[in-house]
Amino acid sequence: MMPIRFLVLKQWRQRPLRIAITIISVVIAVASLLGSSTAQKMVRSAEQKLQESLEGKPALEVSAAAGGRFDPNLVKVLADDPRVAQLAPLAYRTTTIRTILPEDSDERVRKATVLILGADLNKLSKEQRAKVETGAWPEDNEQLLIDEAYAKQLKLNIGDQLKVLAPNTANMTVVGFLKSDGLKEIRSGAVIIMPLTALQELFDLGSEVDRVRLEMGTPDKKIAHNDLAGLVPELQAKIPSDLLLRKPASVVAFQEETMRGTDMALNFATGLSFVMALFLVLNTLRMNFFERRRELAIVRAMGSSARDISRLLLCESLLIGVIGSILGIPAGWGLAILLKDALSQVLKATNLDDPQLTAGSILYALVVGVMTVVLGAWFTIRQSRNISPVEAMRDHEPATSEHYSLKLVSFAAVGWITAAIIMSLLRSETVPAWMAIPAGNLMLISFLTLIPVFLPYLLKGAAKLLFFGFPLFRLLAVEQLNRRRIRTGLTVGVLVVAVSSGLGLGNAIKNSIDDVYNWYEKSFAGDFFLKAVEGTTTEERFVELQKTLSDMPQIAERTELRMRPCKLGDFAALCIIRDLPDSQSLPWNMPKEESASLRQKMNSGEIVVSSVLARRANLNVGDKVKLELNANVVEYLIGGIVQDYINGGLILSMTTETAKKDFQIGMPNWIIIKTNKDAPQETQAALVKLADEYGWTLQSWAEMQANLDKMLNGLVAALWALIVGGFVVGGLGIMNTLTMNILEQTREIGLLRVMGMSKKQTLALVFVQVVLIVAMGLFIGAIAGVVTAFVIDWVSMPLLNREVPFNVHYDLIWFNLGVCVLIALISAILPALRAVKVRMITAVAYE
Amino acid sequence: MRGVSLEIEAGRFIAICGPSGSGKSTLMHVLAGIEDPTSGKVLWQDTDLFALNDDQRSKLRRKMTGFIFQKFNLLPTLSAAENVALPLLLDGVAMAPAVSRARDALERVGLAERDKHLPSQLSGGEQQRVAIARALINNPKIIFADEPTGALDTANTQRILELLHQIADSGQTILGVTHDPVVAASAHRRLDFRDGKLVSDAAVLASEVSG
Repeated sequence: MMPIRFLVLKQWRQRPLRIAITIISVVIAVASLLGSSTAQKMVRSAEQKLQESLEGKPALEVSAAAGGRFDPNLVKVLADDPRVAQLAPLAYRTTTIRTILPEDSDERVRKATVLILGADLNKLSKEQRAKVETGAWPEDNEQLLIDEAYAKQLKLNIGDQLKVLAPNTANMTVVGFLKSDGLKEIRSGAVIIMPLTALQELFDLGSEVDRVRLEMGTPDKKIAHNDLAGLVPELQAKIPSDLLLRKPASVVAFQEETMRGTDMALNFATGLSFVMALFLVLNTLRMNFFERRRELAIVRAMGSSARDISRLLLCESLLIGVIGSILGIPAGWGLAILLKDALSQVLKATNLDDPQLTAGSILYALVVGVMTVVLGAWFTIRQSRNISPVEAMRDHEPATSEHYSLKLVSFAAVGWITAAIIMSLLRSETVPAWMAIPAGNLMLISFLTLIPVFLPYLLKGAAKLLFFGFPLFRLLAVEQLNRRRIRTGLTVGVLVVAVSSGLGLGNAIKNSIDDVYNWYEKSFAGDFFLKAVEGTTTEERFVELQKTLSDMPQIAERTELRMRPCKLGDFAALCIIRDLPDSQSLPWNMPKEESASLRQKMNSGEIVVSSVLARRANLNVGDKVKLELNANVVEYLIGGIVQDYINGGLILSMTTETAKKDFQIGMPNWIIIKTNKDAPQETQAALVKLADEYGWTLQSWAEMQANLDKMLNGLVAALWALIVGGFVVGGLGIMNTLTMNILEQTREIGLLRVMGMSKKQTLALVFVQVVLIVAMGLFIGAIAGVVTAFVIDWVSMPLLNREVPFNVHYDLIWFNLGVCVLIALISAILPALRAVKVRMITAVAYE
Repeated sequence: MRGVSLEIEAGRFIAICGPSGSGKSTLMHVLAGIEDPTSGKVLWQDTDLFALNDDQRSKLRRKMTGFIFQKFNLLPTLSAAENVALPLLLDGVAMAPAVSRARDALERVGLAERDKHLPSQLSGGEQQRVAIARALINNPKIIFADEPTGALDTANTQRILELLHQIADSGQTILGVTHDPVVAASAHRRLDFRDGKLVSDAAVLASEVSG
């Protein structure tokens, strides 16, 4: 072993750049894997935090399958389940309340329509589930709590009386104020909270309730939010079938959609980085091996066994893997910090944890790094077994072209077909969506493995086309690249991944972003947006605001938009209630005739469901579906399915007219204002003043667009970083291959120099090789890019639950082309200088 | 190598002889302009070779010289005709005329029918004849030959020597480094080196006779 170890160390000293490139490839692989996995952890932790902040502890909820009330005793059996901590029966009603003023008061009676929650307040107070900011918890059925901010609007104090209009109207006393986030997990937007029995008396509910909330998990047996869905079937079996057990409705589901897309993108990027690093490592190790082949043959002739050599190559690759991993860990940590900023923008999440290096993630990085190198080394280790001591006796390595085995071609073809089948199954949703990532990578690896098969034809074609007038360079460059077609193929492969991911992934992301912009413009067609701050405006004040806006001559049109959490069937969704004046086009992309028909359907009381929600709930146009909003359940006909992106796309839309008929819809969240064309510049100032007066906020279209830009810029920056990162790896591959080619061609270059080739011609010879590699990388990469973009678009329905319109982005093409050529040329500088420095006597010296 | 001063006349076959390390190869490299001397001058006709820059020197080599090597130095992936055409291609001649002229050159060395063969498909003697054809293709004034028969058997050595004499007879100068007494004996002039010094410079009787 000793002489072999000596040879390896000598090789490392002689080829420090190549070893550095191999280590850098491992660093890139480890950094990208560690960075993206840490980013994924951040995304998941943010998701968990979001769930806990919105839903409280993990919980399930029972409601009547057909809507309406039920007897809570029917679900008492669930309390005996060891996983259920407790049951909380709840009831909700929307009604009007009126302030009761002393007889001598000058103030006007104020009234408001509010959602009231009835719950077991004794229990909640004992458990200290919420803090009553001012006052105390109700002690009997004539007392209630009110939201602190809402109380301020109604100018209510502790001890004031309210008339609650209901079948059994009653006067009740305000005994305490709750902060807006108090009892958030059961509030569902209610501003008045009273004992459950009080609500049941007021509305003649008997002992029935609307929901029973099951708090899950005990201190001994904790249950995660993600495990809840798995428990539903077992618990559902214990209760009558006309009752439905499910996860509570919340806005969390909307965020899940966004998180899901981000998770997928991170997985895809990680897969690409891994494939590129693997190709680069494989190529570098192959080159090292071929360069040393004769030396190893001499060592074989001296008595080393084939196993000794395999063991040595394995040890060498392990060493490279460990060094690369150790260096990759801080690089990955840095990448995670960068990704954190980008993700904060994309997810609008300010609560992302700082990336953390744990023992687990360090171990993961080490395993990945070492695995990458060992996988890359596998081919060379296999080939090392074929080294014969006879090779030591030969003068030169025979000048035959690299052998490309039929087995490898078959493997690539089978891999490609398998990946294509998985993609088809994905499209038909027969296999889970996560399989898109391994299938995509398998497709890519198989495709790249096939490159050396058709490389000779492509090379000749490219050379004829690009270097028609330069037969010498064409001849020499093509022959060298062809002679080492596996090496060339692997280098081209790395470039192909860079180009195709840049074009494919870039195109898909750009299409998606453009689609969102387009939708924003259509959905929020206005110059200014007045946004309500929850609980700051009473109904009377709102009527005043509406009147003031009507009186402003500079306002051409005013539409109201309400967003309400709801349930459509079993699915939590957001209900968008909007005015739909004939002067405005529908906020979705569709042909004119379809748009007119959909408008008619909406005006006649049908609802429109987003494609994401439709796919999740398996809904089609013409289906009847139950909508639960503010504890009311109404059946609607689905008039259309559209692309909608608010909150991850779990959206349904209806007109204000339709909603008013069936629900207490309260005040709008937004008033969208269109000003006259000749509106004076002071309009904005007037609207700002109005917004301040009524406690609303004002945003202009430009500000809104800037916010959107800010959100999407993070995504775009991450996209460019991904593309440039890919090309840097590609550049390293080119540098490596060219350096090796120059080394191999040293004698040839020396000979040509002796025959009169100038330094300029020598430089040209190197650059012709670069141009050919780049041309093939771009050509195959463009084809692979189109295929990638097509596949991404094709499987986007099951992955993202929506179709993404396909467009070609020329800026991306030019960017890819430019960066690819630039990095390739930079990578060629060192090898070219090396070629120029080749001493002519190397061609003629034999001793 | 020091203190060497000599003049080489056109149309002669000159053999440079001496043991390993005597400086004979260095002399040829310096005369060919591929290795710089620490001091001294090399004049090609009236041109001071080392007063030229690399481009000018390369051009001069391209136009005026041809090289023959001990181990042939053919590019393994190019056919015989393509190998022969290389100097023309370096000079900017298009592929078709270059290959056509290469075939003529191959014919001159008796290998017209082997033009499409790769070096690995040719025997040692044939490979050296291809190398000679390559050296001749530019119609150079001087041909440098480094052990041109070092890797050949007796029959092939004889054939190559005949070729070299034909070249010299046609007015081109051949400067050949050799260990082989047969080659040295067939030259017009023999330069003997030892320890970097020229120890003998003599006309060879046999060649004078044959010439």
